[in-house]
Amino acid sequence: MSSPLAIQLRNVRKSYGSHEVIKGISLDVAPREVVTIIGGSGSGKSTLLRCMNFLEEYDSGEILIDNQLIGYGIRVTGDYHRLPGRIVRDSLRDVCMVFQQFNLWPHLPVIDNVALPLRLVKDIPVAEARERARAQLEHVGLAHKADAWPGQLSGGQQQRVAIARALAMQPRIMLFDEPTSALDPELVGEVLNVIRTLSDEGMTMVIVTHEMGFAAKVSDKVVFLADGLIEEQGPPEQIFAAPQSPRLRQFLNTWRERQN
Amino acid sequence: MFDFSLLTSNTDALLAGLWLTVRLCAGGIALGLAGGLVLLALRQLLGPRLRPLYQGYVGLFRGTPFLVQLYLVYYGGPHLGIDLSAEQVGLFGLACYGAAYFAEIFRTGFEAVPRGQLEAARDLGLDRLQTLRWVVWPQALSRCLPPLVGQTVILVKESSVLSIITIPELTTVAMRIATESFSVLEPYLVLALAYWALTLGVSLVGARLEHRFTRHLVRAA
Repeated sequence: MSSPLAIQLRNVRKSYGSHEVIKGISLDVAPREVVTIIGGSGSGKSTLLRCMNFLEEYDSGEILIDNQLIGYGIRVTGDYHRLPGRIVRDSLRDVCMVFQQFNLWPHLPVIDNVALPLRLVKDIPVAEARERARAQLEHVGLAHKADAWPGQLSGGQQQRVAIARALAMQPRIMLFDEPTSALDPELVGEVLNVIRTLSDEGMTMVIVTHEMGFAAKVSDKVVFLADGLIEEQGPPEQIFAAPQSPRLRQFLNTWRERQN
Repeated sequence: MFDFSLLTSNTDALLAGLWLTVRLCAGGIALGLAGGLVLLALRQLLGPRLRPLYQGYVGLFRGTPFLVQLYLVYYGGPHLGIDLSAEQVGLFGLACYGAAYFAEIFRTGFEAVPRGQLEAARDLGLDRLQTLRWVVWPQALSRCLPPLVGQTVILVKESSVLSIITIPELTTVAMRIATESFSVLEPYLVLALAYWALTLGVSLVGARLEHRFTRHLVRAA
């Protein structure tokens, strides 16, 4: 029987040299679920997220997307081997990431940032790819910036283009890696609004964020990471109103103090 | 003070020299650019263990005078069974010498493309070749162009060194006129002006390319 989970992490570990940053994390994400990951810097939250689309190769454990093991194959002898890039790419076609630094391609106009992957990856003819790109830009309220260069946009606008570029690929899972951390405070809201719309539309999402208010509103589940392990997880009401672990309580206190 | 009549009587020889200089430079630069890219591709494909080969090539050609390289191959080559005409040595000499510099310029250009650019491409499903062609190459090129143009200008000027292995290019012709006529100023003045015009041409083409490839670096409106 196939499991209904969108993402499954089983005892995932990841080290850089002798420094272990992910120390055995298991996590389930159901379809249409929104999971936010919070935690201090160095807690491993971005690394964990980047393991999910194999930008970081995890060392042991398993990551399954729609029940398919990501990045590795299992030989009949039972050992794992790294799969070739083509196969990894194919198994991740339903997963798209939005980066802290947007990572728009600065040498292409906004419209082509969105249209290029459609042309190259989905083999859609230029005219149709541009049309789809324009529709996607409309979706994030930036159709009027289609012909601008990324460098002419504000950070918030650039991030919305990055979201449009990801959405154009019609992923079923979206990963957000601190999508508002590089933004001026007054630009955070417009990006969070777009993400909230996605959650209303039923997109499966994993979001690494420092925006606790946003996490409380949008999440079905909040995961608190500390030192490469899940310290506590639960529905946002529990995590933010009745945290169990002392470390989470301290983390939230520090955050609240900084808000005042 | 100036007697340019000896130049008008040597117009054909000067033009022939200029034409040979232009051909050698164009060929040497084109082969050098291609060679630089090939060197860099080999460096990437062969991995860290064979990197000393790349470093050795670059170190050798950048670390010794072009003049000495030409002497070695043209006069020393026959002793090693390398029997090339002067013009062949000149052409490949310019190309090999230029390739060492061009490879390093390309390398810094490629390495300056932020990692996030590649990660976005990979995340969206582009394969390595598509990422190289559409994401990395255009950005690397826009960063490389100014030093590439500078190095090309240097190569054009270095081509005057080819005169020492008997190639009848522009400098050789000018020197011959000077020796035969006992007038130094006029031939060398014309020679300097000719190189200046050539390098000016290179710079103008370079500026146009730079403009074309950095359109996106506009100031925020």
